[in-house]
Amino acid sequence: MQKKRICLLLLATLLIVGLIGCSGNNTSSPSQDSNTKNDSNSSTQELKVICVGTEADSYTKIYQGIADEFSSNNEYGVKVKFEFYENEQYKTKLTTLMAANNVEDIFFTWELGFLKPFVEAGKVYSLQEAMDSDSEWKARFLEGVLEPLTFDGKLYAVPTQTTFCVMFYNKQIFEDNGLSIPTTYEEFLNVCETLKNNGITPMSLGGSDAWIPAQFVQQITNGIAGIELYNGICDGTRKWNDPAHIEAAKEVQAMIEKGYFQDGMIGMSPEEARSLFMNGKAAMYFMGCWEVSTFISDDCPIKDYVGAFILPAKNAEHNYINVGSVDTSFAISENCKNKEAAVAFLKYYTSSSAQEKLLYEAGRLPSTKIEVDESKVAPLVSEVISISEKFKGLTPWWDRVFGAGEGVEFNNTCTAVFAGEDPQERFDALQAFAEENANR
Amino acid sequence: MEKIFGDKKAILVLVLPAFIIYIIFVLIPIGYNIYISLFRTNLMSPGIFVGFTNYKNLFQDATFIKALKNNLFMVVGSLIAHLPLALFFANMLFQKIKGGNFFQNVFFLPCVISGVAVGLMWTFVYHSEFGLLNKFLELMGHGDLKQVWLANKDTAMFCIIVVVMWMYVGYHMVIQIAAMKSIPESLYEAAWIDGANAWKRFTCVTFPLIKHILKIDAVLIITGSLKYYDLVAIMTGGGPNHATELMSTYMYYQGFRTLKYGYSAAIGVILFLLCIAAVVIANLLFRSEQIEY
Repeated sequence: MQKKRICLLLLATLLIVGLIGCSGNNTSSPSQDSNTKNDSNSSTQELKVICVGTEADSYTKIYQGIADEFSSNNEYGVKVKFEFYENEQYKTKLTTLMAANNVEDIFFTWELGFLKPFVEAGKVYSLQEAMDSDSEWKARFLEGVLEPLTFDGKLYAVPTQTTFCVMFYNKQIFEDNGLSIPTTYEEFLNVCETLKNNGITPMSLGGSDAWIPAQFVQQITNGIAGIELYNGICDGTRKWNDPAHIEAAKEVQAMIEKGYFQDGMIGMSPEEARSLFMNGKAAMYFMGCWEVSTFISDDCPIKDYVGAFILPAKNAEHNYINVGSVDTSFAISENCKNKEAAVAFLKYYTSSSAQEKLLYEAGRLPSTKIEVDESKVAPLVSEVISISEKFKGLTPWWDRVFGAGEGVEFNNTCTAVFAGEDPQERFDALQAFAEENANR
Repeated sequence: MEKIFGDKKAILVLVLPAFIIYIIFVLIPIGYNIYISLFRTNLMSPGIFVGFTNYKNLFQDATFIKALKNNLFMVVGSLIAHLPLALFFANMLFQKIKGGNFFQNVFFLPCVISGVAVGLMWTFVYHSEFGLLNKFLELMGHGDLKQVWLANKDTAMFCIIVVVMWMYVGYHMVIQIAAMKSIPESLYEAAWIDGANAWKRFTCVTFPLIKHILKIDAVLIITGSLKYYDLVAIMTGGGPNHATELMSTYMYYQGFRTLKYGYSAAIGVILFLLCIAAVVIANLLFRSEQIEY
């Protein structure tokens, strides 16, 4: 009996020791930490960048390529490694990492309302000092691109691209049907009607991600009410259920009713919608011009036939006011141990050599002033560049301006509109949400 | 051995490790969750104490009400599928039919597969373009019935509940078969001698004797469908426009997407209270005396 009892007690102690052992790691960690520090001083250190992207996106290799160039030759001896996550997944991951105070050294961010809560919580390292002390770096950027990333007079992230929505079209299909680029809204509707009557799907759109229907509605709204509506909603003088939004929603519903979008559009993922366009099954595809990188890559079956135009405004006076903004901004986390090296990497990423690489290889429009060598850019890219020169104004995506609350709900509202729900009712609900959400 | 398990101190020592883990990973998080539900916080900057404002706002939040309704719909749907239907299958297989073991395994199989895999598989079944369901309808000459099942707010919730029914009916069936197998054979013999038919044998012998297991089963079903998450997250992510939002997915959305952790903690507390209430109600409804053979 006695033996068994001792046995059991021993077992119990073993369990407890095991438990304590788990926490024991913490107490011994300082010595380990100092060890790794010593190691890192002698050998190379790693900077991690988390960024939006998937295997299917050809640009991921180009980003890492720039990082590799930096890694092979920098005075800090650091290696930079990109980690890519799918768009929706990334948003969740970043907020979770932020709340857990665990963000990687450098992170991809959108501007305005998306970045703001992280800045206010003191999780983001301000780049203002670094920028002030290096006037050459500051002078590289285009006019106005730093403003959406500046809060309380301090810069928190640098944009590495500019972007806007365009209507991509298949030149071959347009030619076969005797169509030309529409310059007015009526002409655009006629193009859709002709294609539809000839048995071709006019537009392809992936409705399963809410921001895609939303950017289309936002673009139509811009063409109806122009930049005043955007400014009005930002400063609170105009409401979400503004007549312009309702009118735009009704326009879109009319297009859907007439069959201008592919069948099953609502449940289709962005990748599926894109592949419809890329396989010549749809004539037009409305998307941000970051998609250029996919269309100029050799894997694209209609590589030589993709063109781009700007969706004409319904009220002609609001032409060339487009959904667009700065893009792929990078910020440095307060957690980052080697901030100097991180700043150096951002400088490298916005240097003309890296920006040229992004432009010529991925078709990304630079956020800095660089000389464009027309012979090196793909024809589609130069088309997009010439479009960008005509802009009178850009309105950033609503979910970037308002972040997760109203921005995301605007996206959801637009999905509901695409699914055929009453526009007035939905936008009234959005306005009600916006008023209530403020004190949650 | 007897002596040791009779010793209160030894019991304490043996239970302690598990109890510590339970405190750290269950009780403390619940307490902390209740605590932060009283704040407006994004967990990054210091929160503002708002008292019960979060709870007050919850019941004016149309999306939360929608999520609550969806959850109740799930509870009712699961109860229908998992009590009568599972009981029917269990009773069938209990009759020692040929290949009973085989069918038992077939019915049980879906619930050993991970919810994510099941969700993905059914997403393909429901897919509007190449989905099995639409293709089948087309084949039967009912092409007009084709739907974008998961992206249509009127059909999405039904589509999900069908999957839940399909997935867990075998699990509850197995629980009920196990209960039936513990009933002594002699009772059925006695019933048979008394001339009871199959229906009588079920209502007068089987059912009363497995009632206490059905109670536990009902509690499992109700709490399970209240805290449901994985299938919905995979199949619709709560969309389109919050039409299939459950309390758990809405809690996740408010916390991890919109950074309103206080608000999302309040949803968690409501969910917790509902689960407790479900257990209490089930206890009252299925009150039965202890059975000894």
